[in-house]
Amino acid sequence: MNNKISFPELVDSIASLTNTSKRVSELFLKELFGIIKEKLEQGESVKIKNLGTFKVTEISARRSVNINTGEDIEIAAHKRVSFTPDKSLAEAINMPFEGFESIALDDNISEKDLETLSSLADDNNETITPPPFTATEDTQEADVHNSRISEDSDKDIIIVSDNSAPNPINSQETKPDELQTEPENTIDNTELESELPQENDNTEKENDIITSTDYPEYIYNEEDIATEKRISFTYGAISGLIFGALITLLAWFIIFGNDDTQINQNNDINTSNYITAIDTINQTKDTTIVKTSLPDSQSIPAEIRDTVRTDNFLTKMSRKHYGRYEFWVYIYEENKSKITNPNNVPPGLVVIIPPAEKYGIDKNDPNSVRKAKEMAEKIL
Amino acid sequence: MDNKQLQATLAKRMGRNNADIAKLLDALVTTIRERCGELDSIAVPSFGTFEAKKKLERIVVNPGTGKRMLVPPKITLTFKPSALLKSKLK
Repeated sequence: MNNKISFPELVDSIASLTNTSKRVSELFLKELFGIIKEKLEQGESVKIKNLGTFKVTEISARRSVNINTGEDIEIAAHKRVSFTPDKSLAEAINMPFEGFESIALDDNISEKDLETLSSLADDNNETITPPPFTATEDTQEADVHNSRISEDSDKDIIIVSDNSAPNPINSQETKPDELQTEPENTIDNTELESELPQENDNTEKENDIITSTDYPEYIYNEEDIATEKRISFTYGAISGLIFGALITLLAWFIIFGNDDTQINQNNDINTSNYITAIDTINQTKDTTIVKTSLPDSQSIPAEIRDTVRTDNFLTKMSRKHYGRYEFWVYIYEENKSKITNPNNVPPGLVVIIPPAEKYGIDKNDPNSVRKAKEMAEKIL
Repeated sequence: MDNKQLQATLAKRMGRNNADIAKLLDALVTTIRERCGELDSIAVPSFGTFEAKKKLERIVVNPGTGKRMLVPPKITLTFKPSALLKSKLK
């Protein structure tokens, strides 16, 4: 599939089929295509039985635009070679889609439905040469369709094996809902014609054309694609979950880390809003921790000092040590001698952080918080 | 040039009888059918490539009736002339 057959291979194939030597087969091919070329140059078409017709068409000159410069240009008259396959050959090649017929659409199915597609693109997505009727889709949808076809087929296989109820797991795609065909997935003309595509949740009836697993790629590697898809899906799901868990953890630390009165400098620093890298390093140096970390709202027996900085304000220190910024008032109280104006605390000033018990600081106690607020009002 | 003429010309050029030519032509057709049926492409130097192309399903509108039809997907045999052939024809 998707192999390129070279000329020698073609020669071999013909030689083996006709039981002639490679030399004869090669000569035949060279002569044949030579004659075709000659005739085409003469403007004559060549018809080969069971193969098709090679035809030359005269294309007259036309005015156009140079796409780069925008200036007018004339596309000269030229000849174009075309090939139309013989009917039997065309049918043979279209074997996987044999029996498919065009069906009239109700207004329910829209291009959007055909577009909704979640997964991978497939090989060979072509531009479609417009037939007499206007094609209302563009090639982008074609890509999407092709993917959808593969996805559908995959769903086919899953559904068949599971014997599951009409609504399959993947609710993102609308089309897979329709893939409730018989286990054989044979294409039945009458069935197709009678089951016009309708609402997407009407799963049983939507036996769309794409319900077949007879697509060429699936004849050859249905199961491969199925397993591949399943594996990729699992990987995606797992990585998504892990990612989500990480995000949750991070958010949790940010939100709830403030309440932690543990003297774990790194934690607190990270949970603060105005972190800088330098600040982190400075903090760890400046604050001396006498005792190891303690759980929430417990007293800090030993004295702690902290340094005021432009980004390490009393409120920040309060939040860090007491869990709430409102308790900066107690830090202020403790260091009244050093702090004249609480609004303007000189940076570099080393302040003592009193233990929480001293002033009855309890971040979880609303009374405590209220008292702190009242103090703040008094001070300011 | 129709099939008979082609076979005659080939027979003359190769010095073989018509039956042989017919067989060879048949073998060619069979090869193309089998290979392109598997979606392989066959390249003939200085001539072109025979390729099987998948055409996806699409919605078409009959401009006359305004009716929408769903054309089913299909595989088409196409031929891409080589540059040499194209230049020869210019």
